[in-house]
Amino acid sequence: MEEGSVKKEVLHESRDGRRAFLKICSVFLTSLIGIAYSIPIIRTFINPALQKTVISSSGLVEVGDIRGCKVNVPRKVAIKDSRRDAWTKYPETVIGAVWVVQQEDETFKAFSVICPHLGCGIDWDKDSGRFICPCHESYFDIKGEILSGPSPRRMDTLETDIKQGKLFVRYQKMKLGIAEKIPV
Amino acid sequence: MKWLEDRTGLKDLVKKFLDEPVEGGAKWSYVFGSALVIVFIMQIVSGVILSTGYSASATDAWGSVYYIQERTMSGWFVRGMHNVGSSAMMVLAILHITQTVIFGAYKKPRELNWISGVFMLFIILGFGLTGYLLPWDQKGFWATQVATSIMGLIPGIGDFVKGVVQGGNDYGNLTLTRFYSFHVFFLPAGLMTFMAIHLHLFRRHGVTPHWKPDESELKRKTQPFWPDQIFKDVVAAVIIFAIMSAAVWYRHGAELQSPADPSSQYMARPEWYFLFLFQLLKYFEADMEVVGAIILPTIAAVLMLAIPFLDRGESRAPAKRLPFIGGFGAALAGIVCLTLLSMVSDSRDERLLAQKEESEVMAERAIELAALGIPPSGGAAVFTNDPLYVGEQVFRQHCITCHGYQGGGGDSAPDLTAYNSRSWLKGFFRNPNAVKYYGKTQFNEMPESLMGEEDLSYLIDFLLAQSETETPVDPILREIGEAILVQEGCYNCHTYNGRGGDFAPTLDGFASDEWLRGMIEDAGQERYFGKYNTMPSFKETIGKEDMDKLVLFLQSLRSEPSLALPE
Repeated sequence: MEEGSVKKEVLHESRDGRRAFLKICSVFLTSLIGIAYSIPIIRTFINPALQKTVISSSGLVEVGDIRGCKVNVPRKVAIKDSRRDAWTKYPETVIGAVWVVQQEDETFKAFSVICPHLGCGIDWDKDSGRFICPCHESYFDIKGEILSGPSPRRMDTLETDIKQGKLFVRYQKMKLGIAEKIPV
Repeated sequence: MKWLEDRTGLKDLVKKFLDEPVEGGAKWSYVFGSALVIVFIMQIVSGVILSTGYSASATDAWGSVYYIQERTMSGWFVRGMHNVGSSAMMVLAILHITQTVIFGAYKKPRELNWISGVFMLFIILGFGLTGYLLPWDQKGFWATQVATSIMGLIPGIGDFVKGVVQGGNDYGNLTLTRFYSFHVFFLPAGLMTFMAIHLHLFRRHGVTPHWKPDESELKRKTQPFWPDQIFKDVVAAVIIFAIMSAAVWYRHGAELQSPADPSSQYMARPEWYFLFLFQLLKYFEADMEVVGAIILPTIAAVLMLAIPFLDRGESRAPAKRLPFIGGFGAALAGIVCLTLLSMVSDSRDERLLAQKEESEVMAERAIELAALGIPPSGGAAVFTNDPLYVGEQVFRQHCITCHGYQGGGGDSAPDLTAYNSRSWLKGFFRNPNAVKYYGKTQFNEMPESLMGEEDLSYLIDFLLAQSETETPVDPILREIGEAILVQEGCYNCHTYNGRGGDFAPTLDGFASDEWLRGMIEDAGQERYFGKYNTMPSFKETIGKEDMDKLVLFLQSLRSEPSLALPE
């Protein structure tokens, strides 16, 4: 009688041991699939963060003829460029705009129309002779310096060049809301 | 842990889910159902990830899939797993159903287990059908048309159903948005609902054990679902995952054909698990088509749903249910046969094989060209990145008002169909003043040649050899060629190697890129037609890049005898 119950217990124990082993194996193998599968899954998911997905030319873009420009009279000109957006290649379209100002020394300055504060479009107020960002009332003078308002820095100047009577601008977007001018 | 357990009762929940006595013990033959659940979960995961990169629009779909496949880390693998996963679901579903039929598991009280399962099978087929179209490539586009056309055959309401499914009167943006929505919302919701019902019923009635052992033996052999059965399920899952991954590696993801082109002729084939239906269509012609397309499949579906009510005997032993086992076997064999018939006839179809080869080349080309960016007008426009294609556009824009081409164009300048090919040159020498050549130009100085065939052939070899400016002309050929130039009096007008007259085009570098470019830029130069020239100069009107592509296009005409002159 006693012998029998002992036998049963041993049997039970060995069965429990086997079950415990099966449990560990099941969990281990499931995790194995999980890990193996997550690697490609995660790589695919995070890919856009590691890639340039939208690409505009960072080179000099022709914005137009400089004839007819007047000193200290800002002109808003469209920046046309081709653009790559992931798989799509757009033919030349307007990707932004700049304010072009002829300086007293006949050189040209180009300001991004994007307000460094929060990215609204800066306008030229003819009457007061100031640049104004209507969203949060930042004011800038003809040289792009801050007159008043919440903008953390002056208007962003962009590199320009003149070749054969045509003005070229290196169009870039800058990080918003910070004091330094850093390209995005 | 206790804190969490007190609040959520998670342990109880898990226990509830996993603690199920498996009468008669865990078995390998039970793994297919769990395997289906696991593959379905994998499909959800890969599908959700793919959806982060997919764009359901007729212009963007192909491009976005291309981007996932070629430009995204491991994108090919994820897409490949999703694609192989659909086949895996199908295979497992067939195995699961077969197991169910053999065990008689659909019998009372499990009729609804079976019916919910059959509905899930239909939903899986729906996944395959809708997913096939989403890349908007040639095979998906054309194969899916067959399916929606079949919907149009449904008596009475066909057109309406077709319009609802494909989103309007023809394939386009709405077809994709709808198919996408079916694929990621409707069908998953349906499948999950039926899966919940199916699993609930499974838990309610328990596993259907083998038919032989009696009640007491089953009871004695009972094992817990967790971990005994789960372990087997997990091992099966590992094997399935390994096979799927290997298939994806081996095929390097899923095929992406060239973008859908509605103007092309494409013989579409569906996924392998639809081939039997496709083959069935071949046996019903014209008015009878509705029989093969709709009536027979519907009867089969109804019969399948009705099996539990037809096979009502007490015994589950297959030997005592021979008509049903036999019927199921016959149906399965019929499906396999039809599938094989379809595969065999396709593998012998010359046109299909040629198309397969061509579509592979096209797909490769499309993917190559897509690296330059896909024009906003859509995937098929990727071929406009092809310099040859652009060259042809330049040609059509600037040249075709005067020059003839493939039966069209002007006739006031030589026809350029197969320009500088052997046949073109031969015809030219025989009759340079034919309408096709200088006939309608003001230039009529070129005499007809009466030289023998053999000499003419040598002359053409010699002339065409000039186009390879990199490699010197074979000295023997050159000797023969120069002799012919002398004999035929070519030097009277043409210059070659510093010798000869100068009022006909130079033969130095004849038909080379540089020679063609110079001719197009200004045929009035001394080395071409000089004062006899009537062709406008294109130096200013065709930019450098376009000029290169135009020259490339013209050169391509030479090597394409298939573009022979129109009769």
